[in-house]
Formats: sequence, C-alpha cells, structure tokens
Amino acid sequence: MKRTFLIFLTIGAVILSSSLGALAQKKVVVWHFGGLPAEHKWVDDCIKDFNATNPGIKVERIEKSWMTKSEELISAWQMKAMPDIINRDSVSIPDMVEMGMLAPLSELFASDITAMKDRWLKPCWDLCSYKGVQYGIPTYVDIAPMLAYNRKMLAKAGIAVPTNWPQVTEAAKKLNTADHYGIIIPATLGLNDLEIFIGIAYGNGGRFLSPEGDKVVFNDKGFVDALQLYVDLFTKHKVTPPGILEIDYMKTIELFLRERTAMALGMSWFPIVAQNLGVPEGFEYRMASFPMREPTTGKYPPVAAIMDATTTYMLITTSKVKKEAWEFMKWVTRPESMRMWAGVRIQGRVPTTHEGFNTPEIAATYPDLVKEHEKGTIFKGAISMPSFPGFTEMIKIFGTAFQAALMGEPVQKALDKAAQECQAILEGL
Amino acid sequence: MPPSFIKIKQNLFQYFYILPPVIIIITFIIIPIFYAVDLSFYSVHLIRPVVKFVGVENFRQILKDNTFWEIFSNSIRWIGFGTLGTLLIGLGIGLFLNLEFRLNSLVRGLIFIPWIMPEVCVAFAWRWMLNSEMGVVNEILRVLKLISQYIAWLANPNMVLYVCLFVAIWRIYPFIALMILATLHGIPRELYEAGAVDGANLWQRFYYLTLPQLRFALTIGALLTIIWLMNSFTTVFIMTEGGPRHSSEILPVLIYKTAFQAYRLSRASALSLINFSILLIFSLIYLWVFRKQWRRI
Repeated sequence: MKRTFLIFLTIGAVILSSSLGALAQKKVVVWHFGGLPAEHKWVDDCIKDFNATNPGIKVERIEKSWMTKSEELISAWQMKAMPDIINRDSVSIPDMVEMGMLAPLSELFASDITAMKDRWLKPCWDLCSYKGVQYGIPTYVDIAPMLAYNRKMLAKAGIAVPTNWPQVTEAAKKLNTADHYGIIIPATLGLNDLEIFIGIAYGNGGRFLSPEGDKVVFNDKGFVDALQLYVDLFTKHKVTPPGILEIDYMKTIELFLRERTAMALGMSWFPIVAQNLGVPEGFEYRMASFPMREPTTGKYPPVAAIMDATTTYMLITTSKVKKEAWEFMKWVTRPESMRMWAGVRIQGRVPTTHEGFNTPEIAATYPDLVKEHEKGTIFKGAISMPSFPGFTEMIKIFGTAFQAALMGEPVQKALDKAAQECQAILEGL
Repeated sequence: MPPSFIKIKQNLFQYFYILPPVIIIITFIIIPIFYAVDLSFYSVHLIRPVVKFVGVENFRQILKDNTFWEIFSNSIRWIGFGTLGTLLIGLGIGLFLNLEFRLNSLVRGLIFIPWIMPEVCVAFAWRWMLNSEMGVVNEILRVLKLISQYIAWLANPNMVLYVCLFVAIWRIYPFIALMILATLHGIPRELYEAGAVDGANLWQRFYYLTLPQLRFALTIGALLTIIWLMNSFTTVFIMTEGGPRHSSEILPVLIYKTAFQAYRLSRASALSLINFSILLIFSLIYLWVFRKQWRRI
C-alpha cells in the first residue's frame, strides 16, 4: 500500500514538474506570410535549432497566406489576437506603425541594433525604418523592374537585349509572331503588377508622392509617359496578349516558360517563381534591368530600381514575450541563418547583408550585383518602393486608373482623376 | 396571480430550451448589427487613431461618389440577371430531372456537384478555365473552330460581370432545381391525366397545370437567390477582385475593400447598412407582390 502510494506520488511529481517546465517555457508565435516550401523548411530548421539551444523559449511558426496578409492582421489586431512576430513586406511598415502594431526595435533593443546593423547594406536596412526608428530586420529584397527574355527567340530574330524604350517597342514588334507574343506586361490590380510598373515610372523620373510627402505627383510626365508605353504596347502595337488585365505576374512567368512570349516583365523574384513552377529542360532565359527612357521625362532623378524587403521580421507591440521574441529574431537573421537568402537553398533572392554577397551561389545568379558590391556601388540609384501611411488605399485607386488607361481612357485624364482622389486621402491623413 | 403570469410559469421550460439559440443569435447577429449601425455614424480609420462622431457624413460621402453608383448598377444587374438566370435554368433542369430515363439518378448526382463544391474551389477552377491564354474553355472553342482568337473572358469590361455571374449561377442553380424537383414530385398525376383527357398539349399542360403548382417553390427560390447573390463575395473577389477597373465589382466586394484595403471601418459599416437596406427593401417588395402565394399555404 505504502509502495503503491509512493509510486503514484513519484509519477505525479514527474508530471507536475514537466507541466511546470512547460509553463515556465515562454512561447513565441511567428506568423510567416507567403514564401516558398524550401524557405519554410529552412526557417523550421532554424526554429528547431533555436528551441534546442534555448530550452526556456518555444518558438512556433504558423504559415499564413500572402494574399490575405492585410486582412488577417487587421482582423487579429481588432480582436487583440496578434502573434509575437510577423514577417511581411517592408512597404507596409508605415501603415502598421500608424496603427500601433509594430514595436520600435531601435528603442527597445538599442545596443543590439547598433551592434548588428553594419552587417546589412544601408539601403536595405533603411527600408525597414520609419521616421528614423527601426521596425524590422530584412532578410532579402525584391527589385523592380526586371525584363526576362528568351535567349533563343531573341537570337533567332537577330535582336539584341533592348537598352531603351524605343528598342523595347521595336524588339516586341519583331518578336510578335503567330506562335508567341512580343512581350507580356502583367496588368492586374495586384500589388506586384503595379509595383513593376511603378519601377518603370520611377526609372523615368516619376514619383508617387513628392519628396516632401505632401503632394501626390503620379500624374506628372514621368508616370504618364511610362503608362503611355504600356498603352502603346497593348493597344497600338498589339504585341501583348489581349487579356493582360487578368494576367498577373505568376501567369506571366508561366506563359514565359511555355514560350508563349519572347519577353516578360517582372521583378528579381522571377527565377524563384520560375524554379517553383519548373523551368523546362533546355529553356534558356536571362534577366536584365528594364531599360530606362533616354532622356527621361519626369522631373525627379531617375532611379535604377525600386526595392522592397519582402520578408522582414517585425515585433508586435502587444507581445508579452518581447525579449524572447527578439532573441529569436536575432537568431533567424544571424549569418548562418541568412545563408538561405544568399542562394544556398533558393536561387534568385537578392541578399541584404554584406556576407550574403560572398557566396558562390549568388555570384552565379547575380554576377553583376556581386561586382557592384565589390565596387561599393550596389543599390546605388535604387530606392524603396512607395511606402507611407495610406499607400495601401491609394495604390488601389492608382490601379483602377492604370487599368482605365489600358481600357482606353486618356492616360493623363485617368491619372489626374486618381491623383485628385489620392490627394484628398493624403490631406485627410 | 394574473393568468398571463401563470401561463409564462407553465411554459418556463419551453423558454429555457430556446434560450441557447436565442443567446447565440443575439451575440453573433443582433449585437454585431447594432455595432455596425453605431460604427457607421463615426469616423474610424485604422491608421488614424482619433475616433469621432460624424453623423450621416459616411453615407453622404458614399452617395456622392460616382464609383459607388457604378458598383451599385453592377449589383442591380448582378441580382436581376442572376435571379432570372438561376430560376430559368433551375426550372429547366428540375423539369428535365423529373422525366423518367435511364441513369436518371446518376445525372441527378452529377448535376448537384456545383452545389456541394466549396465556393472558393469553384471560383479558382473557373478562373483558370477562363484564362485567356491557358484556359481550357478557349482551347475547346478553338479546337471546335468556334473562335479564331482567344477571348479575354475576365479582361473584357463589357463581359466580365456576366462571366462571373455565369459562375455564380452555375453554383446556385442545383439547389433551385432540387426545390423544383421536390415540388414536381408532389403534383398528383391525376391532374395531368385530366389535362390529357381535355386535350391539353405539352405547353398548355406546363402553363396551366405545372407552373401554378410551382409558384410557391419559385417564390422561395427567387427570394433565396436574391439573398445569396446580394451577399455574394467570394466568386467575384477570387476571379477578378472586381476588375478590370470596377467592371465586375459588386457591393460586397466594395465593402471588403473599404474595410481591409482602405482601412475605413466606419465607411465599410455604412456600405454594409446600405447593402442590407437594399436587400430588406427587395425582400419586402417581393413578399408583398407574391403575398397571395404565401396565403395559400
């Protein structure tokens, strides 16, 4: 009887101590929006290593759809059911800061931020700051605009890679045959499609907002002429599919891989998505920056590219385990963890750290970027994709005007109307 | 003790049993409706922390916006043509399934597949099938030599709303067909025998015998279709997101975009109220016009 009692007491004590251990262990929840399976696996491996190294912390990653990231976060915010960490695009930082969602990392963990920031390229690091405060740690950047071209088709037609807008038009016209289109320009209301276009407009000296941030200026010549290029390719020269208004960036890449087009517009993630869809054997393509207009017609300095740190780790203000969450953020962005974004598992992501440009994989995928990094000129002339409070609302209005112009409305008129509407929103904010 | 109080005391148990669903309805339907009404009179923008009472300003802004009227017009066409199409197709299929032929049960099962498929899956599947460059619909039409060039079903602003409506009808008609079929089974055979004896032809039998018996089912079917179409969001949002431009946008999509993309919660509430009011007016007018059918039951 006594022995039975002692056995049960021992079992109870073991169960109680392991429960207490679990209670003492702090749980950190990470919402991971979007990404590819190989990236998810890498992050899961990082989490496994972190949990093993930090027994007092348990990190749990939850996959979330990229398409509904705004809606999920807004709903969770309203219901006060937020995770501890999220990772999403840096262009959304101003909106989320104004909502009170993001914790200021440079204020909470000042010494850590000071110690770590020199690992990052400054243009990339600055993508995740707002009003001088750091809110996120970037892993890689997406760059727009990029032009993908089918090497065989161009070689067969005897066409060189276009280096200015008239050459783009001429090449598209010559490459437009009964078997394939000259070029596909994705033109849905999706953010990616609009940002590709915005990259071209910025390259022409256009801007979404004035540098002071108080005036909507996407109805200036820089944007107007860029949109006119799109309209001419679509309606005047008819070198694009008739359904570009419903062909988004994913379908663009799919059609490109099926050799239904000689050229296609996209961003630097083009090789990643192509890899995921499956590049047919023997299919040869290359990427180049979309050429700029010469001379540019916008009144602002032309930019070589616009960037977005698409997978940026951010800490949520309502987290009750901020210190533990920050430990994980440091872990998942340490040099060993960041190797994935430097081409080790996935090829095509553009790294944001200096060490990321030293891998042989990146040298094979982006030799030009590596050379620029060595010269110290990388991302020179590149700026952030438009990112300010109210951008999410305004880009939809802009998108409607963008499609209206492609549907036949005069470009200047369409952009003027949208600019007026957006100006009212800007002044209201 | 007053008699009414005695009656309540005697029926107390019955009230106790209906309490849980009443609590659920109040918590998840009544309170949110009142909250939405309240919210619509304030200015709540997620990236502007100040909340202030603005009265009917949200409604005024909505009603003076040309885009709203464009989308409202889309919604009216969506409901009008959608209801007519669903009823006609549902009626036709119901009459067809009432015939006796081999493999009738198999055909019935196949026809109900759209109804049992999740709406998200239906929308994604049709989006791919209708893709202008890679879709199977264009490919079949081209092979049959019905078209020489691919049709941009979801990019043509004149067509896109009706294409989305076709998908919505495709999903809803099986339920209407089922209702019609169930009603047809209840019509006594003697009625048709009497009609045949009187020399009624096929059309006369349908118009004078079948249709009057189907009035109630058609009334209910129309009302349900109007409600479903009025609240329809998934099909349009997944297929086109309301584009190109606002060509396929209907009120539920506008409400969603206003709340989750423009972060204007109070304006979205105001739009929801307008949508609800339209539905209420539609339903009341409909029930008044067809009140005779209700009285027969």
